[in-house]
Amino acid sequence: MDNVPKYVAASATAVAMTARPRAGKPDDRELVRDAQKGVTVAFEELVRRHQQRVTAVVGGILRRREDVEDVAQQVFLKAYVSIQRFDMRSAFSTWLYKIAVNECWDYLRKKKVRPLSYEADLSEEQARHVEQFVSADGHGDNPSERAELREIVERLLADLSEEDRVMLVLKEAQGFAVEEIGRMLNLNVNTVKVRLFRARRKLAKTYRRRLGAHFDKHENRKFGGT
Amino acid sequence: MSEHNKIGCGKFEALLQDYSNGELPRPDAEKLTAHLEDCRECREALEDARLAGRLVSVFQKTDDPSAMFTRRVMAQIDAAERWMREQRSFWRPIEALSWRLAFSAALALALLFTYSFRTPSPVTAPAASAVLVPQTDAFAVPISAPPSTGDEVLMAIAEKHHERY
Repeated sequence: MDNVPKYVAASATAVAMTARPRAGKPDDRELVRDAQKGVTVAFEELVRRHQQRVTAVVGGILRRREDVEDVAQQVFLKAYVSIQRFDMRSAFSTWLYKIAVNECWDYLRKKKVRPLSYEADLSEEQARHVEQFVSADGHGDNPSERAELREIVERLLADLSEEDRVMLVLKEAQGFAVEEIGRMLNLNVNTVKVRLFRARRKLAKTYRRRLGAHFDKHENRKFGGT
Repeated sequence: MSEHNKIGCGKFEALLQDYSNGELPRPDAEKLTAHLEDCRECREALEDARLAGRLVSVFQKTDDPSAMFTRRVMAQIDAAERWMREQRSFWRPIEALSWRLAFSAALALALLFTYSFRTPSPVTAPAASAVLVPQTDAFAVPISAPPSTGDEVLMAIAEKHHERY
């Protein structure tokens, strides 16, 4: 039993699995094959391995912390139900992230969550907060301050398409690679790069427009009047 | 901005994304740095990208799921499987009965069709033979056509008997 993986040895329901001892840690493919045969502990191990990244994908799309875990759970439930249909042509993680992205779109559609769109300029105080956050590292460490900043940036993001918003947050906040984002959204890597870059420029322009005259002061200070 | 830079800016668009993240390979990064010194538009684009990156960073990385996450997922799966088993056990006798009924109905229909195709209709059969063999006498039985009704059989036997004697 020494070389039997921990996930197998841990459960009495996987007695059959112990007859096939494996050296080292099983990779995702082996676990998927076992899960397809109905070994629930194999799926449990897959959940343990991918829960963090799936939660990051869901968090990046929903950006509402209270719903993130519930939707992530739904993602794994859907993956379990349809694991027989997974043909191993892509990595299990890619397949799982795609389920996560679709589940999030469904969730947003069902909840009819529309991005907040305020055309009015930000208040003087809000503009100051954002400006401080942008210029000074460390500003916004306070949770309530950060929540307010999040709401302001969410408003600024309303000018972008949902897909561009998702790409930006997954890249900048969740730290996903451009390749991973491309696979999740079925987009070519170069397309993701160009769209990301344009989305960033658009966001910066919106930021400048909303901050208006207040930003000019900041700009002059930052670039020494150039 | 020189004409040369204007032409070259488009191709730098995808590179600027990697450059701003510090992910561009060194030779390309050096080329782009040289380009940025001359091109104000690209410098502004890069500045915008960095500003946007900073703004979006306010969202932070999503917290890791709670320690009980895996257990909750597996409990949900377990509950879903149990529900499916219960559904199956409730519907199974009804399903089996309905299959039996469907099979019996199909068998009955098949038998009915076979019977109706095999048994010739008493009205249509003489009519068909009348078309094939033109007759002058309505009571004469055509020799070529086989007798199809009981009366015709009796008449054929009687006729044979009469011819013999």
